[in-house]
Amino acid sequence: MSRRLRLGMLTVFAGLCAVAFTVFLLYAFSRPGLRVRWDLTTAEDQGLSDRTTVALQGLPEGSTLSAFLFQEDPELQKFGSTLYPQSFILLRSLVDDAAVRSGGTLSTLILDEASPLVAIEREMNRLERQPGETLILEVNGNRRVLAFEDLFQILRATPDGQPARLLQERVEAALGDAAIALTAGSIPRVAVVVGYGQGSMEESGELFELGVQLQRENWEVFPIQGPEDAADADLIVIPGQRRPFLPSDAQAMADWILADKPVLLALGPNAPPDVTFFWNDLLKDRGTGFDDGLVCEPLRIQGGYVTGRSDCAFLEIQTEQLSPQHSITVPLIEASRLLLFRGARPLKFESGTNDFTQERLVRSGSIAWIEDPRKNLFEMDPGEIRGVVPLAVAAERWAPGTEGRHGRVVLLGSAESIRSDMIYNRELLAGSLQWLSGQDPKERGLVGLGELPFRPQREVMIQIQNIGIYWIPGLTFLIGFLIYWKRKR
Amino acid sequence: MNAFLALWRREAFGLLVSPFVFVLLGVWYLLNGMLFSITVESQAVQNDLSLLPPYLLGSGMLVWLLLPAFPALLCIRLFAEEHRVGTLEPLLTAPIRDSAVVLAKYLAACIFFLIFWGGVLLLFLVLYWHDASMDWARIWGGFLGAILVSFLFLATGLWASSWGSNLVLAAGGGAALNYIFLFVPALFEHEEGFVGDLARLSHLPNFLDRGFSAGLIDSYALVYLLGMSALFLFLTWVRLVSRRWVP
Repeated sequence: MSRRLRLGMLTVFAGLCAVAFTVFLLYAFSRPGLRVRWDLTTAEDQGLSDRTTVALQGLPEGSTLSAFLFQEDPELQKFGSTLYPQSFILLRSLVDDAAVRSGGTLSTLILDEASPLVAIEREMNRLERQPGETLILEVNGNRRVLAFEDLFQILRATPDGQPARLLQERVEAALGDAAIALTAGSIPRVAVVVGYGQGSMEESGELFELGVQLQRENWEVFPIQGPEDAADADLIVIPGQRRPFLPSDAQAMADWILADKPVLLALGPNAPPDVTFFWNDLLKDRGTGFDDGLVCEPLRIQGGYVTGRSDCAFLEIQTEQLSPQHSITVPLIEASRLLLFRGARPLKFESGTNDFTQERLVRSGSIAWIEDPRKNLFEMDPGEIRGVVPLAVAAERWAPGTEGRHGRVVLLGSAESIRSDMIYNRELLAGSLQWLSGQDPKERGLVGLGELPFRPQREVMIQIQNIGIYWIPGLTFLIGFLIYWKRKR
Repeated sequence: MNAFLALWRREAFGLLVSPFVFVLLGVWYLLNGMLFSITVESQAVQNDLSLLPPYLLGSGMLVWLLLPAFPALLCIRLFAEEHRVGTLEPLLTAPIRDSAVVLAKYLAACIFFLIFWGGVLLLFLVLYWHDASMDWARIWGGFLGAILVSFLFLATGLWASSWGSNLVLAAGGGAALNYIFLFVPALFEHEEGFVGDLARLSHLPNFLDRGFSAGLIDSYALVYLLGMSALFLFLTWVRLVSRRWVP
């Protein structure tokens, strides 16, 4: 072998060794345990807190965090709003930080409008993502979904041209909460009563959609025939009731309520009187219960209102009909969500004992009336009660009672609101579940977000442009020309 | 050391008195001035100036189009031109180590490229002097990232320049390599498995966009940028040494 060939091969070998060493070095330093991040911002709000870091490090191997950064709400983009870009910059930084700080337990995926459609479709289908869902944390097949409204508090665009703005964010805290909830060991269990005419939770059953939604909210769902079987549950959901409870179930339900355990109860007008009597008796301390009748509203059409149609029992709930004070409904107002209550009965909203507080979550419009079945169907007849009626009520103890429980109950006047019309009422259900499980999601971990507006006068902009486009490049070209001229001489 | 400093001074001075380099600098300033004006004029940035560093130094045209090309153009005179005019051989036979030659040329180019970034920083200062509230953490972070990426691109440009006397090939090769660094990871970023992991770990715009220009400095990004720069400097040295055996 000639000397030249040997030296040539040595050169190639040295190059390959250097490449291999660099790859090894990069591999070693890419390990989460060796990665460090420094936050230069004064608020140090671009990275995760120690609490969230510890929670993420506690996740099992193979956990995933998917971020869907899509500008889906046109309202939030009006008038040059920076809401989405601002929030996405923060989300990208925090999701990347989560991958680094988790110590290798968490793999992250960020999908945005520049991502390949195939990848977007694949992840959306796999996670059954709904519009507005921004972060999905998946641990051992259980998921915690964080919608945009869960992460950011926003001010919507105003009709006079003010763009939507970010007020506060709680991405970091929400991510920590989600990780803690998923690693808490036991996932909260919800018992859904199906033995009293509610229907089935099977795939083609009436309660299938409800079951899916409960699972999406990270509850372990199990159907029960009656409250007697709910001993292991953390929450009972009763999506309508066609028959009164058997004595054993009635006793179990009474014990449950007396023990201040949470209940989500939805009874429409089809619930028989002895059912409503049972519940009204059980809930009288809380100052709420079920009234009789069907709540109707005249249909709005161009030029006025019409009645006499079954559509009058379809109540479109606007944001002004929601409570602006309760943690279940405040996020719905902020997100301008419309609800649909189909076939609703009025609820009682009166003073109970001093131990409980009540809040009217959802009310009808002022033009509503309570249909009397003895009179003309869906017509506003004389003698029928008119005006605002409560359609959903939340009640809880002023101070924690038995074993520190709050005795929280949420009553819905429409069973269909969580059976057939989930698409409209999904967030109401999610908020109710969170509240019933003792979380007040919007209260904690909010961090203010500042903006640095810069609206210079036209002359100032021209001045800046002149410096950037003419003066600096011009001066540089001039120096170049002088050097050329000098060298030529 | 004295020989190294003397060579560094020679290289830096050579760049400072090159009309071609000033034309390059002028074009860079002009294009960046235009990009800066367009970005500042946008309603989003006027609503929140903290978006300016990520837009300009994170994921904008500056990173994807200008940054890969200019370091490669600056590097062509370092080796390719010396080779073309025949001054490389005397340099390599002078009593100075080959590694010192590579380092001196590289550091001169790096220092000179800071003048490139200085002009862009001046634009931010102009804004500041017009009473704009600036998010300096993101600006400094963005500049640090952009400077380190440009140092990497200078190293690749230097390596491309060391291969021969053809200036077009040197500039084109360096720029092509830099564009590969930017675009190939972006193409495979969403793949699963090893390829996807590799792409995500070498995605330069993500380093800039999600890290530096957000005010976050990641140790891995630093190691990647410095390590890859060192690799290409080593490869340049290997190429120089091997010229004696494999011309």
